[in-house]
Amino acid sequence: MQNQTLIKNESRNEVRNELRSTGIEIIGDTPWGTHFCNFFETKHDMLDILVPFFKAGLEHNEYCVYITSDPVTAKEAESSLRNGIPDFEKYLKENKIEILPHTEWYLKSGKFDAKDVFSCWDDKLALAISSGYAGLRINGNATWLDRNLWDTFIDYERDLNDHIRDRKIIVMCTYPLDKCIATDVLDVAHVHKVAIAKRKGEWEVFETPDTKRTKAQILKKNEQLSNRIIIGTQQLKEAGIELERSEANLRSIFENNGTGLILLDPKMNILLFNGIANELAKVSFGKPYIYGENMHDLIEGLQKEEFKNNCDSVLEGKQIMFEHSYHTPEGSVKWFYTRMFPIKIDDETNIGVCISTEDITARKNTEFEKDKITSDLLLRNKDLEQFSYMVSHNLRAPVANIIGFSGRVLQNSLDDEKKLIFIEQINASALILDAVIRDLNIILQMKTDTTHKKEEVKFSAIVDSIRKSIQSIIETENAVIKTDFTAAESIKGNRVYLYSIFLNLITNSIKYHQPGISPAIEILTKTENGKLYIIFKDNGLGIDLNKNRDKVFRLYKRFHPDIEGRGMGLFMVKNQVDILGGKINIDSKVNKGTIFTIELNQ
Amino acid sequence: MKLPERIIVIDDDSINNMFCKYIIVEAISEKVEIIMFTNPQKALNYIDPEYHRNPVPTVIFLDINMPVLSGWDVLDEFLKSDIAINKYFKIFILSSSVDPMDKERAYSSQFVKGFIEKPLDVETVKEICEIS
Repeated sequence: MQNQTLIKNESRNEVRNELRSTGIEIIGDTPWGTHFCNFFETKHDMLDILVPFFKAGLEHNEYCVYITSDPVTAKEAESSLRNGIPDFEKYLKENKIEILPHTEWYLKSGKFDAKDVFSCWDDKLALAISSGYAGLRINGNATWLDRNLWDTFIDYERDLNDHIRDRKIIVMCTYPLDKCIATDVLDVAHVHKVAIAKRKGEWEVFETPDTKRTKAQILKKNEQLSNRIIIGTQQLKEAGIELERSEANLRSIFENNGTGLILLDPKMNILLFNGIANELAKVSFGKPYIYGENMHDLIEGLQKEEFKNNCDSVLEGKQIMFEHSYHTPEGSVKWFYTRMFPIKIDDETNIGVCISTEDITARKNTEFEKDKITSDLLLRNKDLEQFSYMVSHNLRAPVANIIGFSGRVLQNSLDDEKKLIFIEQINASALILDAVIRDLNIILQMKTDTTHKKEEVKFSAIVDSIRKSIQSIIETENAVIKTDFTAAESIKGNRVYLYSIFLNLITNSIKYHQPGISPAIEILTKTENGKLYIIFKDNGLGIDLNKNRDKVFRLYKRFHPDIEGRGMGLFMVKNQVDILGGKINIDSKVNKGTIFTIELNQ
Repeated sequence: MKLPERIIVIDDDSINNMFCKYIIVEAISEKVEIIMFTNPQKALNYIDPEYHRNPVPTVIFLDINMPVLSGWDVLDEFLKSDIAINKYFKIFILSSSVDPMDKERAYSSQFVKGFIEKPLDVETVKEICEIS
């Protein structure tokens, strides 16, 4: 039961939805079940409508029934169709069209009976469908209608609407205008879906209240729709302007925030970059970026893999930050702070990678400067401590002696011999005091000497010069100085300090030689990781580093009390190496020898 | 109280040592042995066998600032020694230092009995010897 209803409903929909051509231009296509009427003034007007109506039916496989009436006979009708429809003869022969006088249709039983007429419709339709036609097309002419039958016929016409609603039938009724009074026209028009009229070749459309209402509704709908479209278009336009504006804002931020920005898709293709990023690209890759280019392809060497790993982590939602430096062709160092972070469309989905790179060279340089100032201050502090110690001990010791002896001299009880001895001691102490003050002067001068003139200094030239100045000692001690400066022949630095360092280390090696063993000194250079090393080796007495490692370079520290010395040499060497920006290391074994290694920046 | 039989001065400054000798002689009329060392190592080399064999009550005047072994180093050596240092020695730091840090460090040693600022004077020596 239900299934049948369903099928019925479906076929009903099919019938309602299928459009058929009426052949009449002013009506156009119409669904099955359409029942419309046509008023005509002249016979010619009527035939003008019928020809295209049936032509369209015949061409679209509809079974056509033409019910004629006065003033047109069946013969007349046939000949007019023959004139207007090219293949009419063929259609007629194949029985696709039937032309009947109204007496054989409406008045079959001698009088008009709506029921009979409806059953005629149904029989014709069943026959047409079973013969393979798409449906039924009918024209009925109402010229035969008597005034006493009018109301009955109008009722029939109204019922016909319901009867054919879901049937594959199209009906056009034709009424002669000259036989209708004004109310008749209204009656007829009211019971048909559409009423049209052809008057002296001109078309007119009568509208029924239904169609008027429908049309009004359609018009209203149209108006609303077009209003909506206008509003919608306006809104779209505003949204477009807003979008343009916000894009302009974003672009201005994107371009002018002082940071290089690159946006990559998940496959590391470049989607977007700004001017600063592009400038950096020219520096790092030697060429500007191209949209769509793959970032991973641009990177070379070890960083390639690292970059990919970074991108993968970012796409997982992580943020990566790092600092990196770059040496410009001009020789300066540029520092950058790079951040890689995901481009999110929501909390869970990352659609790409954003790389921001900021030039932090200025900040970095300030940092380095601060660090340098701090370490300089620490060094200065240490110097001050040493200075205070020096004042307390080395400077005050001879003063204490002078106070002590001079105090005794002032006592009258002393004999002349003792007095003389005491004055001699005072004098000796004054000389020591003077020596300490001279040392102090040298140290302070070195510390305050800011004119660190840098020049290319050849190591062999220094050694030659020292050989000459201490020639007599070298000869006396039978010292041998071997040098090998092939790895690095010279350095850019302060000549005076370098000379002093070499002189102190060479004379130390000669002075503290092992008894009975001639001093043999070896000086050589080597380079490693951008550093220059000067290595001094000797075969001297050596220093016990287990006890003295922290004292080696301290002022007035001495390790061989039997050999005269002031404890200034290594202190000076250390300070001068410091000023040159280098480091000094000692390795020593007692009675074997000492190796000093000086590390300098090339 | 018993007078020290021996006074040892350890200071690399020979002028100071000479001065100390005059002061000590002036302060103490009785016979007392005075030994001077400008090299602290030599002082240690003397003390170790001597005080194992024949220990006598001794006053030591010890300088701090010396080039090879400092006064502190000498005190460290005493710490390692098996001689009963405090039984035989009254150790005084004799320094030109006016640095409070040196004084503090001196008094923190278990062996140091006092800190004397140079120059040494007769009154101080008398005081030390009468007390000791």
